[in-house]
Amino acid sequence: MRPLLILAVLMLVLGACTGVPASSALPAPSWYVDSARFQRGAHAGLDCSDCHADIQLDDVPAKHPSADRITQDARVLFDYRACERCHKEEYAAYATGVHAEVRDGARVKTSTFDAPTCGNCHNAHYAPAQRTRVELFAVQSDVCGACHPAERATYLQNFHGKAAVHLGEKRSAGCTDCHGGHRVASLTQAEDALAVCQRCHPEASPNMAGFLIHAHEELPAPEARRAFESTLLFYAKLLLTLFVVGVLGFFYAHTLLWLIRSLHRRLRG
Amino acid sequence: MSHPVAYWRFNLWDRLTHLLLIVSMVGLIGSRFPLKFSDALGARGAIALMGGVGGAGVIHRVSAIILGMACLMNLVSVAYLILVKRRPIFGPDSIFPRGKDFTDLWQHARYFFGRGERPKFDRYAYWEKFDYWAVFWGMAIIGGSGLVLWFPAIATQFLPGIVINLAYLAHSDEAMLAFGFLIVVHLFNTHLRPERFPLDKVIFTGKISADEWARDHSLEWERVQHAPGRLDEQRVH
Ligand code: HEC
Ligand code: HEC
Ligand code: HEC
Ligand code: HEC
Ligand code: HEC
Repeated sequence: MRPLLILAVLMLVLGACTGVPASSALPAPSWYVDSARFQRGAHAGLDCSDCHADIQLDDVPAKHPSADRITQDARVLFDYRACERCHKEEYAAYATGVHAEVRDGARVKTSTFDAPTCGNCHNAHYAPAQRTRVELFAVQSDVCGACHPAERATYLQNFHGKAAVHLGEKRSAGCTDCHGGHRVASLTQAEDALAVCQRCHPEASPNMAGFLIHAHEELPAPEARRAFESTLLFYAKLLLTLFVVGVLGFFYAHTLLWLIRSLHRRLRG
Repeated sequence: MSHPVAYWRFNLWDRLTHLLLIVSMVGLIGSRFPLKFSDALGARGAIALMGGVGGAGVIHRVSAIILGMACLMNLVSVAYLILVKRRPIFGPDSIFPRGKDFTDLWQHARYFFGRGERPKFDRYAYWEKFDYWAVFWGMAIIGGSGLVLWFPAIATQFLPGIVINLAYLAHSDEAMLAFGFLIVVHLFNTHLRPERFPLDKVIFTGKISADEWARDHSLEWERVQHAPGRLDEQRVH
């Protein structure tokens, strides 16, 4: 018993040390700017006016915003083109991606969520700099998962998600390793998916990209992508579950009855 | 104090095979439970203990090879019995199922409900045979799907990608079945039931006492009484 206890304690301590990631959800946008926190972030050292062209500097007092403005989400009011100046690559990728397409109305969305701008995924005031891959795995799973909950759930059922987000394996893949954070490639074309897998699995063949990373557990709608395979998976899961429950049920009942009988015999003498 | 007479039930080879089975099962289950239940408390720590996800993967694969070796060792043992010792495949001593196993199960079930006597078992009772065959069937399904997961790129050279999903499903569900079976049914049947509690050492020492033999495998016991050579051959000195 002792070695088992020691093992359990070791597991918990090591688990705590290897850093269970703190909540990586974005703070709610606010009009209050915590300047100490701002100075710890990636944008420490920037002037307010680098992003807020409309902000007045020390010598000229800023106009107090009107009442209807102050009750609106600052992320909706902010003109994120201000980011382009310093983050050209990210901006260009975002601007040509699905999210921007949906925002601009060039593409009709089916999702109930609005398409994000920079502010949905980054907190401009406090975003920490130089985060590690493992930290970003958790961020991505939370940030992207807020609008893509089904993909998040299936990703966390997949080897890559478990290894990356839960177990902190830096070689594994986060959302953006496959989709990118800004262009957000849908990867519905087999060759796109294959190119992505091959970055980490150079030996991958076209069929391997057919592995359903986001394998849903429900029966798919008939017109859904890869409906046949998902249907196959659904029934395979059902059959296997019935089988496992059947065999275990049978033998657990057998064991229980046997136990009762043996005890009964013992007690009767 | 006089020692009760004991007889050999399992030879060294078979006992070693069983030990390897235990080692491989602990390794296999221990290295993959923290991945399957990766968000459970302690999973991260368990993985860190094994040197990360990669280290756990190595332990899993080494254990899988040990399990494969144990299965090969057993095939050798069975081949020896059939080819050299000329034991009939469906004979009373055999691990192969036969009609009596089903009637035994029925009889045993009746006994659980107090209707009738406990059936008399031969060398292997039906649940012992099931334990044994369950490993083989598990080996086929878990081993086969495990190879697909080990070498996904090779497997998908001639199979569609969905096979990896199916392999995950089969591997994981069958493993849960094996685990659920081992820790409840196998442990109870062989070790924890009141007649055997807390541990039945036969599979580890290889020796069975005359009493136990006569009680648990009475048909075999009665049979060897009429083959005096065999009793002497199997007596522990
Ligand atoms: C890196 C660019 C950047 C810098 C530097 C920056 N901000 Fe902001 N600020 C933003 C963005 C983007 C928003 C929109 C909402 C959000 O993400 O919080 C915002 C929102 C605000 C708001 C809420 C109202 C509004 O205008 O939409 C205030 C007030 C504000 N910032 C003040 C400041 C002050 C004061 C500083 C200097 C200490 C500063 N900001 C520096 C990017 C920046
Ligand atoms: C005046 C230039 C400038 C502007 C404008 C600017 N940034 Fe930055 N940003 C920087 C610098 C410099 C860094 C620090 C880079 C580093 O330390 O790796 C940075 C870092 C970041 C990071 C963190 C990168 C990391 O290491 O994880 C994010 C996220 C970010 N910026 C988002 C934005 C957003 C969103 C906007 C628009 C609201 C914006 N930035 C506007 C200069 C700017
Ligand atoms: C604020 C909500 C929101 C956030 C946050 C968000 N998305 Fe999206 N995303 C959308 C919407 C809305 C669409 C359009 C989906 C549709 O067609 O209905 C979309 C579409 C996509 C698509 C294309 C899907 C397709 O069918 O072509 C991908 C890929 C994608 N997002 C990836 C990401 C990734 C990766 C992240 C995190 C880095 C992310 N999204 C974060 C709202 C969001
Ligand atoms: C859908 C969510 C999403 C949107 C929208 C988004 N980003 Fe990002 N961005 C991410 C994620 C996630 C990362 C983390 C790094 C990674 O995974 O590539 C990131 C990383 C960054 C970085 C750091 C890059 C690096 O290599 O360290 C900068 C700078 C950045 N984004 C700027 C922007 C700007 C500017 C916009 C708006 C044009 C924007 N992002 C829009 C999700 C998003
Ligand atoms: C950022 C890197 C990365 C990307 C991109 C990536 N993987 Fe992986 N994948 C890994 C790592 C790391 C492992 C674990 C390898 C190991 O330790 O055995 C892995 C393991 C796997 C496994 C085996 C899982 C197991 O149980 O051993 C499969 C199957 C797989 N990946 C398929 C894919 C497919 C399909 C894609 C493309 C859609 C893909 N991967 C993209 C990093 C990646």
